[in-house]
Amino acid sequence: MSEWAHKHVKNAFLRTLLIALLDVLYIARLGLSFESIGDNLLRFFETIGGVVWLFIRSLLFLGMPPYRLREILKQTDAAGWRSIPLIGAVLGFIGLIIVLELNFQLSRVVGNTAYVPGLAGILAFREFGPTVVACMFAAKVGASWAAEISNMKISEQIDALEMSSVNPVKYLVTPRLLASAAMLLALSAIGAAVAVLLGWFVSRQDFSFMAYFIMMSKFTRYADVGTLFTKALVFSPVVPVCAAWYGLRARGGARGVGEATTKAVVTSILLIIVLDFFLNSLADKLLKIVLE
Amino acid sequence: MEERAINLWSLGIFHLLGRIFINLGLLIEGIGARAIFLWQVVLKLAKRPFEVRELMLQLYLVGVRSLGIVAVSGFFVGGIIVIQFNYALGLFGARVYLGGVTTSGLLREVGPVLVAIMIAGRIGAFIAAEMGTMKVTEQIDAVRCLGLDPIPVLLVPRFLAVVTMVFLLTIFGLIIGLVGGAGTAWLLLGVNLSYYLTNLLKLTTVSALLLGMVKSFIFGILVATISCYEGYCASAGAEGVGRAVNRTLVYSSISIFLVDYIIAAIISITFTLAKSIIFTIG
Repeated sequence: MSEWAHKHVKNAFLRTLLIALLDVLYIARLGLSFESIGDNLLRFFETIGGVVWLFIRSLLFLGMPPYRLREILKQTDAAGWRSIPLIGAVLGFIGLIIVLELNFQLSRVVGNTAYVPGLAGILAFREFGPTVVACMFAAKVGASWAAEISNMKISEQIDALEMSSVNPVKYLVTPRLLASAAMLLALSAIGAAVAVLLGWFVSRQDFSFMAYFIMMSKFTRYADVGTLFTKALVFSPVVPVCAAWYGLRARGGARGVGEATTKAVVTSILLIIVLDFFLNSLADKLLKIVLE
Repeated sequence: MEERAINLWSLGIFHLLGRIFINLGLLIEGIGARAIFLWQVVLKLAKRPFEVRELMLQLYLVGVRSLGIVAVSGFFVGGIIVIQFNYALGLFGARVYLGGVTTSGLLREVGPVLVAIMIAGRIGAFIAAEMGTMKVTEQIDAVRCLGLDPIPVLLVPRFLAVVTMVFLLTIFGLIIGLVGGAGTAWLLLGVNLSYYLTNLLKLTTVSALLLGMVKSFIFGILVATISCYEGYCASAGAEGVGRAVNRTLVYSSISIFLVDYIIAAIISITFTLAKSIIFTIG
């Protein structure tokens, strides 16, 4: 078709338009074929099953010596200490944005800003603390872990490990799992604290420092801090397991490394969001049952 | 021994101060380099040759391939926001405003930021890796040897595709997110839909939607600029590509939240100014 357009349509503008239209139709057909839908479904189920199975395997290796403490500490440093600036910056902005937005919304809804600290504390501890920290952790640490593991896979270092009868899951994934669990707990606490503290700077005209926290303590309870740590603990295996899953399947040179990295990041962020939704709805149901 | 210790200590302070100033300078230099890069790309937007085919392909790669993740994340984030605000507003008995507050918050803040972060993670990192690989394997130099300018041939289609598709995907994600929020409130939390919709129109104005759209346009430019720059200026070797990908993710997420805060602060200042003017007049 496009050759016909090239030959027979004389007007340059019309020709460009026609060719563009034909391209759109061609691309739309590519995306909508049954084959691609089936392919995507298969890949989806394969990923879910593979990730869960990899997680279970890396958990099974937790209790088996050698424990490789030095490797765990190295990963803790690389994952936790070096991502404090990123977490601090992002969660600081989020704290400022939360208070600005709540000021706007609550002054319309309730007519004053007395409840702003309470709501900001609830949102920071229950939602943005754990979830955004986990997403940023996936973007920074997950990307570097996926790149590292897929580089090892492509340069056949994984095969060398298997040749010397070392299990790559035990050697690579289990230390990262432990490091991620410890560091996500710490980073979530740091992130939520930064968000809450910086939130005060926006509402400092309405509240003094002490009044801000007293108002916050009227709504935010210890259970909310417990939610923060529970969520951080639940999200912690997502990043290392996704990075290892895509890293260990990488193939095809430098291109494979890039693909593994992007897929690991996107899959971990999606998994974190979906897990968060189900945790929230579960907690809501539990709360209702307890209240009744 | 004691002298040496004192010397080291004093040197340490100056070392630290110098490092801080050098890092500040590097920060300003980096922002300036990206701004100049953006200006170069913008200057060549309207110049021949128009790579229509490449643009179509990039629009497909950026837009159609990201529909799935934007739909899934939008749906679940809409649900999460509704669940949290249902709990928080219930604490002081303002649940009537649940629909209005969540819809307005989703339109103004959460939707644009979420879609921009997802696109930065999926497309920005991919563009940085692709352009970095091309740079490292000297394919960009090959394009230049053919007498073509690499910016209109390679970068302008990607830039345009990312900016357009972040905008369009934000609209798509917002629709899905609003449906997800209403569905969660109705099916999971047992909130009556008419109750949910009571104050929606009163609290959600056209300006909220417009603000979200402006934000998504700015975030699209940010993500496109950072990913294209990091890929185009990647240093040599496979490590350079990895560093470009990592930097794209970190810088785009920080800059998205920074710009979001700046816009929110400007809006809040104008809002309070307008309120004070109205109160002083009335």
